[in-house]
Amino acid sequence: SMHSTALRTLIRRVGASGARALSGGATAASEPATSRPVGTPSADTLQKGSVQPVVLKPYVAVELEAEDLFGLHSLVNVDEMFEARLHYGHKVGTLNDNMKWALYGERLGVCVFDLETTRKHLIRALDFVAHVVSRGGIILFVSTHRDTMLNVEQMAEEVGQYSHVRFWQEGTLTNMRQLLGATVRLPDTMVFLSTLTSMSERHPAIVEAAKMTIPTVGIVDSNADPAYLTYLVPANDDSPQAVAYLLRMFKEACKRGAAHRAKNI
Amino acid sequence: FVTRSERAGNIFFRITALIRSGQMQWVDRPVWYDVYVAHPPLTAPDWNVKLPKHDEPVKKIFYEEDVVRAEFYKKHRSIGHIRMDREGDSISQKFINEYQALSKEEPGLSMDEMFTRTEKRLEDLGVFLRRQPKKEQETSPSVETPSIQ
Repeated sequence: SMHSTALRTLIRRVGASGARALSGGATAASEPATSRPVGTPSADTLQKGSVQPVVLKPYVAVELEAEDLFGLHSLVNVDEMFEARLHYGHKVGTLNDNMKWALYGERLGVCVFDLETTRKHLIRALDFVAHVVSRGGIILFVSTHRDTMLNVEQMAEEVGQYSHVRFWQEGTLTNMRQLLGATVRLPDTMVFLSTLTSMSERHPAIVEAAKMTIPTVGIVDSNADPAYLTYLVPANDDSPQAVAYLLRMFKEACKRGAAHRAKNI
Repeated sequence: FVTRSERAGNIFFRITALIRSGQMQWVDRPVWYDVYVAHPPLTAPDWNVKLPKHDEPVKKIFYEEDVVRAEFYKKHRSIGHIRMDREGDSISQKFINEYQALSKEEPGLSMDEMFTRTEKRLEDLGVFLRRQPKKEQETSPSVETPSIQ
């Protein structure tokens, strides 16, 4: 039996998702605004594009080219992040070598994140989430951090998205047919407010999402392994104030994405 | 050799490969695909990539005034409380501010002299660090805690 009622509601959202749904809805009258008559990329372009996504830019909608469509550069600033204690990492002994790129340094054994780096990455992640929401995508917020899981649940409900903060049953994404017994639409993006379980191991949903080609946004702390995540946000994921700040940011991104979608439908 | 799908390539690579081989049509590509093309992640999303500074040691953060701070705490081991939720400087920071102001005014003094002078200056501000003997009692001088911030 499913532990999370939130996932049950996903069953109701069965429907088409993807680029076909986006172009199918648009009538001939509204064509020039959102699509370019460039057509389908050739196999050669796709081969180059698989390692260099920028090659495929002429084939995607013009409106996506905008650097900051949702005004996120003014939303995220370093001072607020500092007040929210986003720069605190764990001790140097628990530092994952693949997280050294995000650190400013260590102060008497405590890792300190470089908030300029964090800002850049957070803006990129929020931008991705906002765009996915504006294209009708559904977001699943995941966290097993006991102190903040209820806040994650609440926030997801407020923006009309989904959350999973309870025990993650292995196969929730890869074996959905057996566990839920129905055709279910999978989330288009998963946001991990904490990438570690209460056992300090990688959350099983990260690998499942990678298997199902679902992009993941991960708030990675200094002791977390950034492997298998798509968009990284190096920040403190343990302080309630830090998580509250991040939830506020994601809520704002989802709201702006939804407003953009409502305006352009 | 590696056989798991999540290790064969990152999600974008795998979807693009599906489209290239004809297993998935271009019009059937996922919702997030176009967004990824326009705004790709800043770090390569491959599972086995070694991110920058992987083999380098972590920089230690030290400031010049840490020398003064260390001497201060050696002398006054438990003094005052550091409140994280309140604005304003801690006692050690106040000490350092006075120390630096003093060193600008009167350079070339020894560390001990600087310390006694700074303590005096702090006393003028109302922060007592040195033991003051009580006038009425003859017993050992009481230790008064500086004003708790």
